[in-house]
Amino acid sequence: MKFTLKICLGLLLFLGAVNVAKADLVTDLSKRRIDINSTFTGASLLLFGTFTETFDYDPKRHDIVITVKGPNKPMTLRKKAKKGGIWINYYREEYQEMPSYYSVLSSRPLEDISDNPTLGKLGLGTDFLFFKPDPLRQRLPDTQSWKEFRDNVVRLKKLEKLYIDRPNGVKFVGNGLFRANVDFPANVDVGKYEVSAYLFRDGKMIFEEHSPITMSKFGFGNQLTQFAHNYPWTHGFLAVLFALFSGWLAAVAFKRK
Amino acid sequence: MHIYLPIAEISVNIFLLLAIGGGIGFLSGLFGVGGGFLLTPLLIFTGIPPAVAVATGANQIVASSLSGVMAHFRRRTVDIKMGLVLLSGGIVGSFLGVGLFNWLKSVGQVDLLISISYVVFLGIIGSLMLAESLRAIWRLRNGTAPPSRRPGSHNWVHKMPLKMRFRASHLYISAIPPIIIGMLVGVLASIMGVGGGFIMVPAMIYILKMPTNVVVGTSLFQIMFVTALVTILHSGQNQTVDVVLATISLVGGVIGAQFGVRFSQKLKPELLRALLAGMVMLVCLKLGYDLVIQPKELFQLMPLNMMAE
Repeated sequence: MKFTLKICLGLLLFLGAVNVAKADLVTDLSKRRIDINSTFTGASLLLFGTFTETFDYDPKRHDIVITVKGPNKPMTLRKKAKKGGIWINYYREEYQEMPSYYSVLSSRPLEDISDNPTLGKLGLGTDFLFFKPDPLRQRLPDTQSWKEFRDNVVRLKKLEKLYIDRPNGVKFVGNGLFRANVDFPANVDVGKYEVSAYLFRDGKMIFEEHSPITMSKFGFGNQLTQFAHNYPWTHGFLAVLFALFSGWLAAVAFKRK
Repeated sequence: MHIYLPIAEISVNIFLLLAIGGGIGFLSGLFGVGGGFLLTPLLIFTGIPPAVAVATGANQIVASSLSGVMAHFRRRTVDIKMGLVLLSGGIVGSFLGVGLFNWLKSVGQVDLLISISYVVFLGIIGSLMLAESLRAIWRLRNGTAPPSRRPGSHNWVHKMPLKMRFRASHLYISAIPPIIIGMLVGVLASIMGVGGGFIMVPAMIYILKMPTNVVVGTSLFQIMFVTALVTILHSGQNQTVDVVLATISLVGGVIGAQFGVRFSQKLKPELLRALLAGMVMLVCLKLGYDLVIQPKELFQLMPLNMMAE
């Protein structure tokens, strides 16, 4: 089966007269809804955009960073330790706001685009995402462990392809036109996502634009999951009925033989 | 060919699942056991989250126990009254078990609970079965007759209050022991995803002294209702019932059981029991080994349950 992206998202960046004095980029999305009809491989999304005609683009000075962020969720990271001879979940850190999905694409590696304080202030890149750890609800091996725990959150999320770093993910195709490919695995959360575009000049962020998109899923497996989550009791009841029916069918088949 | 399991959130080879279901079905046909106590660990070994494996195992057993109980109803080998008394305990046990399950899930220890329960129960059952079958084989070789069981003498079960008459079982005993047995089975069903026949059948024979011809039918009767309740509770509170997974393993199971029944007539029953015991011990050792050696992945990221603690 082929899972083509249902939409081509045209991220047209041209400048509107918003808060910045000069218009460089403004986002316009041809569609604000992504439908993933994929139960196996996920989907990918093509973003493209350009500068306004009056903008004087210089590849040596300008950089573009695009992020896609999924809805925040409270999460716990647990670490096993050997206690009484067996390995159990012993240490933990609770995070109040963890993006369920985060993709960052840039025209160059982020560390070449700007310095850490700037990236940190903007929360750009998986190194600078802030998950709001709850100091009252944690048990860590020592006071320095928060770093190890945070790094492992990112590592596990990357393993699931839910966090993606693409240091050269924004490609210029000429005339200031650029494109970027964003991948979503099959297990992304549905809900409101935020697409952000940042324009840097000489390491300074000079323009940013945010637009919401909606992630939705369809297809049998996805509908089943959503049904199980939205109507858990009915789902359980129907699961039992279905099992009884299957069991009856099997019994009848046995008897015939 | 891989199939994405929507609740378990992983892709698994569909033929592997069919093979596991078929293998368990083959064993249940071969040994006349439910097989839930092997299905759940095998699903865990393939990478399915333990909580999903347990809830889905319970759902699958609803189907297989109905097939079984229908056959027993036709032969009139179900003590419905006893089944209902067992069930009343089973309902209480299911709520207790799912409550315990949810609490441990919220503190991140549910996988540990499942593993330890399996190691303990498979270890006990496996070694008892192995000892018993090896003794039987040894006796067969030496030609000595098995010791005859004592006739149904009165034991402590007969000294308790709340006496009830169970006509189909020819018993007049207190309702308390069957309620307690039913309760224990309810707890096991909710935390291990098993029917619990491997506990209930010996308990009915040796503690309640029920006639062996009604034991299997009656236990299946109670298992069907308890696993149905456990399925609904797990789905309602944890959303861990994967119908796709249950259906695939059931299809494999139904086919496998056909072959198992045929094959069982070719093997000596003592040898069969020894083989099953060996298999149970292997699964037990693997689960125990996984608890003791350092796991490859020390970290685990899970949704935070706001109601926890």
